[in-house]
Amino acid sequence: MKLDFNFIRNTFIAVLAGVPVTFKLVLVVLLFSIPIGFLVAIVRMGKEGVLSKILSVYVSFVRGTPAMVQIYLLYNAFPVVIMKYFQDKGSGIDVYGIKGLTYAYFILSTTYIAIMSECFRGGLSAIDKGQLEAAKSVGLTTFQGYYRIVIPQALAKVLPVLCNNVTGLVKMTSLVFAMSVFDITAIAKTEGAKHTTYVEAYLVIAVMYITLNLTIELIFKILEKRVHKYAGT
Amino acid sequence: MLELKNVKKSFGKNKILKGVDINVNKGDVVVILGPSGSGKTTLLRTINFLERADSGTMIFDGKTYDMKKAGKKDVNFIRKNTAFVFQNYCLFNNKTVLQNVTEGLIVGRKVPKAEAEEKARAALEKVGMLEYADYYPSKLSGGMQQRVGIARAVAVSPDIILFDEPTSALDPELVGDVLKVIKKLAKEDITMIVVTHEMSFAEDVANKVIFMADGVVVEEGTPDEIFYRPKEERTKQFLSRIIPMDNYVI
Amino acid sequence: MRFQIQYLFKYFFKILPYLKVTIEYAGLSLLFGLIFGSILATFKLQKNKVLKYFGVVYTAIFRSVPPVVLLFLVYYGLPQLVLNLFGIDIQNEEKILYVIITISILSMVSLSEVIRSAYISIDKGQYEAAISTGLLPVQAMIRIVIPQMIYVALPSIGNIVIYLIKEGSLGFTIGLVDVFGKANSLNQNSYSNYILEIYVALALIYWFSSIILERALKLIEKRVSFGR
Repeated sequence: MKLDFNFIRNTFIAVLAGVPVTFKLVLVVLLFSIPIGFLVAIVRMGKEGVLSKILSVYVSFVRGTPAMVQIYLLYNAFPVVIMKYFQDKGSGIDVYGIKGLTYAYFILSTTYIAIMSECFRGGLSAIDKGQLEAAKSVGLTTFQGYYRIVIPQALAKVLPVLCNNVTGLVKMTSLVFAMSVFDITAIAKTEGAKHTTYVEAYLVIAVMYITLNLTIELIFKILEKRVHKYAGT
Repeated sequence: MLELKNVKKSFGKNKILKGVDINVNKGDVVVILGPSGSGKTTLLRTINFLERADSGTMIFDGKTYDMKKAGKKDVNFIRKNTAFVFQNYCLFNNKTVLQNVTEGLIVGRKVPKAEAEEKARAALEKVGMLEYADYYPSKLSGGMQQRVGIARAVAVSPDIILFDEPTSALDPELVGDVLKVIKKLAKEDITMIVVTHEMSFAEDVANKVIFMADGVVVEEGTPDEIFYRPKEERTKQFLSRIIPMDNYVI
Repeated sequence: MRFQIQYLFKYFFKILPYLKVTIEYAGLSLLFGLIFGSILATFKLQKNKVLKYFGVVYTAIFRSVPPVVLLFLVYYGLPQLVLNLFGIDIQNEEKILYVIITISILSMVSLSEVIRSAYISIDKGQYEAAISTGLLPVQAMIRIVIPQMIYVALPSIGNIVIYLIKEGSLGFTIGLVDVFGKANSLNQNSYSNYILEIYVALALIYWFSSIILERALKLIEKRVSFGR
């Protein structure tokens, strides 16, 4: 099979411009989805209120529909309708002025808040209630009990799933080409189309994604070893 | 009926069995005692090839087997004529109690279903678990599971039953029931080798006691001989830690 | 806001028949994934280093690639590769073939991990007790070990099926007409006048499918649970 190494080199150089975009996407989404996902997990594990039910429906929807469908809904479909609505009312909000990148942050974050919340819910519920009870009975407050006893143990259980989620996020960023965001996949697409050197182009980014994800897995393995002693039964 | 000669087994660098000889006659109830790591469980497991000995000869029912090189047919033959009771019961979790007992008959020995179920129910009756025939193991206590494990062994009418610490994993209150069942079987002249820590059981039921330590047989004899007139120093050492001093005569 | 419910229903039922395509590639990929995933799992359980490393590396690579990228690689690269290796021209084969191959690779890798960990989780004593009672090793595996593995693996397998359906939706990027592809063409033909209705209908179809699958999974779990 003939692979043109010139094209590979050229594509690689062109794609580099997209690497910061991919990184930004991953980091910003993690920054939002981890804390908010944690809060959502706590709410859902608490009392069976209206909020809890709404969140359950939201999580079910996000996990049951493909990311691309969510992108088409929010990026393509909603703006058309909102524009018509605002036009009818005569107000001048320019929905089309919102950059694709903003949509990308929003859509990926909403998906990942749901995914993270499931991850944390699993970790928290796996910890025996007795741990918190024991903490309280030796005089710790509820907050201290969670912070010093429950969460370290939950962490050990959560790390592997978290690793999966982070690599999943890296892979999900490859879809932002559908929102005109120039990450590495989008650039590879255009580079490939230039001279129909599709295989070379996608091979380059495949290798980049693999390297990135394997590095992330390595980091998590190291973290997991550190936290291993907290794991308990 | 069963003779083992010079059985050796190492796991990596650890020599577990360093040349063990034992002799079991039909109808014998042999108890093997010894400290942890003495190799008694490993020895038992080499008999039905759950572990493959590094060297040794087995004479079973008149036929000689090389314990290292025995082929699949021979191994399977031995397993069809012996039965094993596990420390952790190891009942088939995806089968009911009745199915657990019939499995070896129907699938292992091609016994027709009706006949197998009859034998199974008889065995379950013997161990007192017949009313639980349609239960799944996960619903039973440890003692109940072990009794089913014994029924599973009995039902196939083996030449010899091998017990690997049958009560070690049980709550103290459940141990008695299981020992009762084993004593019952002993009275019926079934040939058994029992690896156990239960001394008074050994005294009650065994007609031969073998004491093992550090991978070799240290001493063997009748329960009387071993418990009250042990000859070897090592044996005395072991017993003194388990039986109060004033119980035996030097 | 101009959202007309009657059009939502109309498009829902126009798109729904194409679920057949989705079921086709998801089903076939699951099948291939189970077969090849089992083989891959046995590789990873071997002591033989060659097979083990092959399994581990293969898994690591295909678990780290984004599904879109893999799809494009397969779509653009496979015809060339097959032409060079076997001299067969597959350029005129249907698009669904590429989706099936891509999703099969993904499912095979995920399933191999699930199968491997399910195997490890079964107590060795189950197998030992089976062979001690006279069963042949093969019989012991099929009658005792594997049924218990299925129970352990079922929730993960269910997750993987939902994942297959979601990733397969990317087939529209190479022109496959499944539910997503149909939604796109319906939208184009109606000049985006009913864009919201169409894509909401599409989202609902996926959502309902995943809920139905989850319920079905719970029912199967009950059957396979052996009294737990």
